[in-house]
Amino acid sequence: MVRRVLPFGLRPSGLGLGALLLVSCAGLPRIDDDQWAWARRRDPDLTREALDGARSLYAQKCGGCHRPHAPAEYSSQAWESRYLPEMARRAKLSPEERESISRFVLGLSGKPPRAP
Amino acid sequence: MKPFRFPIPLLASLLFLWVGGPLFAHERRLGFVTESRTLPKGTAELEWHSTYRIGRQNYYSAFDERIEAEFGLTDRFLMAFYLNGTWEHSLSAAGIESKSMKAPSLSVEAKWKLADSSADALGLALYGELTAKSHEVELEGKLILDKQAGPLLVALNLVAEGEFAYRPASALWETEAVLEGSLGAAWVKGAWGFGLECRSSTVIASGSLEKSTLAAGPVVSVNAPRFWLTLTPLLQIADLAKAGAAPNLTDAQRLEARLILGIPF
Ligand code: HEC
Repeated sequence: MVRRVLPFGLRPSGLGLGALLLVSCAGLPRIDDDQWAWARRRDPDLTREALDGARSLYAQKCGGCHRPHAPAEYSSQAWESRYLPEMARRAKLSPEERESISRFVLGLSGKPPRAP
Repeated sequence: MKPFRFPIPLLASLLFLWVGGPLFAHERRLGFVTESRTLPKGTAELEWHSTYRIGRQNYYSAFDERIEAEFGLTDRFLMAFYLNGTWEHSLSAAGIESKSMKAPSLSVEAKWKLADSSADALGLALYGELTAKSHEVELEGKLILDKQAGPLLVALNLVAEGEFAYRPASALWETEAVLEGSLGAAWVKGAWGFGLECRSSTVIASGSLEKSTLAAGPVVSVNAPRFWLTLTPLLQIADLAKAGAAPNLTDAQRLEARLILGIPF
């Protein structure tokens, strides 16, 4: 009765294309040595665990209303003066959550794709 | 064709949105496909969904209106409440006109995010919705998989829905099952988003296949500081119940267009 389609009418070619597109572009930066080193330029005591935790908190708190903007999308000055104060209010962040999210965002903003 | 009449409840829902209080809305980049995203704890939003269905063998047009209030209970769990209304206008093959406004119904939604579409390899959420009408209950379960990779969003939904309607005249329960699969992708550039969505939908009524259709269409979304909009016209492209057949215009419509409007306050 139903031909040429997977259950629910999904086409194999469509899925393949979707998967290909997915792996071909980056989202929120993963915390590797390179990212961590960059964030410590500003914040020498920052542990890798704390940075990792801040990243998932960022996705939870800042990805609910729009996609979570990558820290590198704006300058640290724009984050600090414009977006963080306004969005911390919108996301109803506690002072500790705001502190953690600021470390992630400010730590990684302005980072070039490869560390110098 | 009959002249188009703008339904008053539509205006009322718009008014409700404008005066609805200090709620924030969140953008949606796809109209028919749901994303795994949930609102952070303590935040809320208001949305208006308007779906217009038109184009059957004989004249047919219908509006489905929904007003939604959504609340983030934790960072990963949200609940939403909907008020729904449907207006239908049709002509039968014999030329008999029928206009109806279905009794409004209420829905409750719960969405639980298990993995995040940006932070994790793949976003995953479970979604459940219960709708109560007079003499009718609908239960919907949805599995949501998606990925937000920079400006690209890809989302897949698998939906199973059961409808249980009591017919007082015959004292019988009628059952209907709906199985849906939908896939959407959108590219977001600044305030604008462009993409494609497709959906297959199969309805099984009282144990036998009623219809199975495939529809697809573009989606455009825009996010302005004062509002955001998402518009998707889905065109039926195939009748899956009859391989190779032209679209089913007896039980399904040619065009289903959805507009979602959110107004941040
Ligand atoms: C309750 C909903 C909501 C939450 C939660 C939220 N935002 Fe926003 N955000 C918005 C809205 C609405 C806009 C667009 C209107 C504006 O700029 O005020 C926006 C805009 C932005 C922009 C500007 C985008 C642009 O291109 O102009 C940035 C950056 C941003 N948010 C970052 C964040 C961060 C960081 C967080 C987490 C602390 C966050 N947002 C949480 C609703 C939200």
